[in-house]
Amino acid sequence: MEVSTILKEATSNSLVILDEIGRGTSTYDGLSIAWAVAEYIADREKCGAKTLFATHYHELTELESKIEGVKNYSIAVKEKGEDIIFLRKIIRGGTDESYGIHVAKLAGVPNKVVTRANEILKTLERKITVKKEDKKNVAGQLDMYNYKLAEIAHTIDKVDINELTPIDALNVLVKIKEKLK
Amino acid sequence: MAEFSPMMQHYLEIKEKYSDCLVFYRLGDFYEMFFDDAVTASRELELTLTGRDCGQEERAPMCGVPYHAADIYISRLITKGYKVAICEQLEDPKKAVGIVKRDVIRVVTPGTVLESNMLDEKKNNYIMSIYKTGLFFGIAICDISTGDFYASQIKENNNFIKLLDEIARFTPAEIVVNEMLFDSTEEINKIKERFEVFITKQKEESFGEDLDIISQNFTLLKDSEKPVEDYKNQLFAICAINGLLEYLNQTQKIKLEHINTIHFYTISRYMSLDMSARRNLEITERMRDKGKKGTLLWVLDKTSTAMGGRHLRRWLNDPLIDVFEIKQRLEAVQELKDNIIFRGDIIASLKKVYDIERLIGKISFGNANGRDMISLKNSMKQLPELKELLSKSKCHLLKNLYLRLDELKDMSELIESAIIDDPPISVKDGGIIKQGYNQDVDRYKKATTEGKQWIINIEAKEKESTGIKNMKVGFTKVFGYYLEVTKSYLSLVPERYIRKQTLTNCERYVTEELKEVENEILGAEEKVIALEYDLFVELRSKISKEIERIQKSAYVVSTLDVLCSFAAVAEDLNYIMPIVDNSGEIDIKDGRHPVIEKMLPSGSFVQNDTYLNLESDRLSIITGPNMAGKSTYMRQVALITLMAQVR
Repeated sequence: MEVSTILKEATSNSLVILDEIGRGTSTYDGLSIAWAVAEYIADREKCGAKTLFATHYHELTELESKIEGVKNYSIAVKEKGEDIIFLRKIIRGGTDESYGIHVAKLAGVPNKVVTRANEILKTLERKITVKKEDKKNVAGQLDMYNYKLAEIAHTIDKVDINELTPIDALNVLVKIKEKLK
Repeated sequence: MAEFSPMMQHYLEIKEKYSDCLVFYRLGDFYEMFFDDAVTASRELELTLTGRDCGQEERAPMCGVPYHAADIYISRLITKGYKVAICEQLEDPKKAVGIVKRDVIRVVTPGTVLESNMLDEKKNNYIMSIYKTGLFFGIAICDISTGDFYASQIKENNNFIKLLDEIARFTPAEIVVNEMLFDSTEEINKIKERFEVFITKQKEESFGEDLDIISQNFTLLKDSEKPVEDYKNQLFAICAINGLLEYLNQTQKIKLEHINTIHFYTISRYMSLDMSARRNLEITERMRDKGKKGTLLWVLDKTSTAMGGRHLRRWLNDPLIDVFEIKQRLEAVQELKDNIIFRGDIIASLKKVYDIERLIGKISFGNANGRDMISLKNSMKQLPELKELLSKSKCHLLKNLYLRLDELKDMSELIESAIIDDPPISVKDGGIIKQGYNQDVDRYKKATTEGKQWIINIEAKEKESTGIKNMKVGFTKVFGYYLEVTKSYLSLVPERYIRKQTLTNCERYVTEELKEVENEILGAEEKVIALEYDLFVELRSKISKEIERIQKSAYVVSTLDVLCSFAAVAEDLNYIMPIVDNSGEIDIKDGRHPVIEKMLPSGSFVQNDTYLNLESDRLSIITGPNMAGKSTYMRQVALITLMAQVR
């Protein structure tokens, strides 16, 4: 209901904040909804509101090259051995699947933040393990596990059954199994 | 079946009229409840359930609370979602013939509580009325403890959502609705789901279109503080106002002088913040526990007065969109921020100001006591100093406050001359009025304290003038004061003496003078208490007539308080003055989330820039793993934008 209100009411004078929309629906539905909403808001005739749109669907970063006025940002992350350090800094450009790509450029984070970030990271990792055990509970904010599911759903959706040979189908299955590893 | 006793018959009549309330029925020193009310109240308040003969075979279930502790019990019932009708004795039981006259003097409901133990001093307690007609809504909102009264209407598309937004803006404790809305189960349920609010159905007839009563009794103002001219466009708002006024009449039973101005606002005047944005941004209430800690209000509230606290909450709930208005506030904050001594002096003075708005609310309800008057006086005494300070201000808004500030010297002098500095809580036991305010009071007081001396003086004087050396003054309950002369001196008794009583060896006389003095002494105590009470009530109603003036000054004080609070926060937390214009750009350098920054160890919050405009940078897609700070970042932008438009 909240997103529908935003779409109905927002004008170019509005500031719209969208935080993980599509959450709570099945992952692939979520991506489609998020995509459509982003397109709608970016359309200056329909809405054109200034918008901050946080998402896990990194597919949405493709919009930057498709629609004028869209810019990609990401929150910088630094990989350190097995740990990931959150730098809390917003930078230009989207993330792809690996978090560490932009991170090397960044430096100078206070120790306190690093320590705290490690603590938070540990909690996060614990959460992911829990969720792996409890596979039914996939709703809620997307973590790494759900993210894989999203990709798999995406792969399946791209398949055109009318054109699919049995060999292709096997190949798709292999790809999916690959992703689950 | 036997008849009910006369008192019980009366009780049942009252109960029928107030069937949706628990009836507190005054019997002597107790408020009693009977039948089902008694069962309910004994359960909710953990009172012992007893019985009372009521003329029937079975005794009526009964429980009661002592009258002096009633407030506490009433507040507990209100928080549990009950309404309480207070049925009072309207005449002195000692003087009454037959059963004592009783009637309901007030109905206490969640939206109409006045008892300070039930009110949050830094939060308005609103009651809202909603009039639904076809597709439109009229709304009226009042805080009867302060007299604030607003009205508006929602004619846009999608208007139920807008209505929910308005409810979220005011978060009323109680909503009065017309039948059409009440019967619209889906909408009522949506309201109940989202808000902890008490909903009361009010008869359709109450929501009349009649404008006369409203325009005769209230000043009607538009957003711009100018009088409303075109009433035809305000029809739904008027219906809502009528409905609310009727409900207030039914529950409060008296005309409330402090509710004298109705502000018609247009919803589009303020930043439109939908309900979930308000909730998610945690502007004045935390999502989890509805508390203030951890909200934007918590960071920004450095107000010195309760009025300022409420005013700040209103501003945060209603950010402006008019650039000119915003700039005026910003300039004022900047001036107060830059000029530390100026601000310090103002704050020192504000700290001595009590809650003027609720004090005059009490005066209007007729339950302000001597101490309230002194609080009011002490508050008003700060006004000349504030005016003097404001006279030095340079920016438009502060100058405007200077011009609008009425120093109310006449009012504070009036109270100063009438009420002693440390009056008792009760207004009915005397000891309130200052010496020199009223000649009669002074004379009576003198009579009670100096009466003995007067009698001794009369004795001495009479001894001297008559030469009766052993003359004595005495007192009996039956005859009062007398002069006693033994038989041996009877020849010296002058003619002006009036004989009262003859005893074996003496005669007792009175004189005109002695009679007068006696009257003075004996009646003095009772008279002075009655007179002091009358004078106090008179003073209270004198002030009641000037309520609008006092409210205006209270408004100036609370506005100034909020501006000072912003200035102090800006200095403490290193906030800068934003540049606000209509360019459609949001450009934030080193932005910080005000709440999270305050919760983290100082210096550890990572600042971020933001740039959005209407052309090349409209939509920012932000990716990154969970917990990286995406939500914090986005909320920070929203909060900074909101703060820029609040002040």
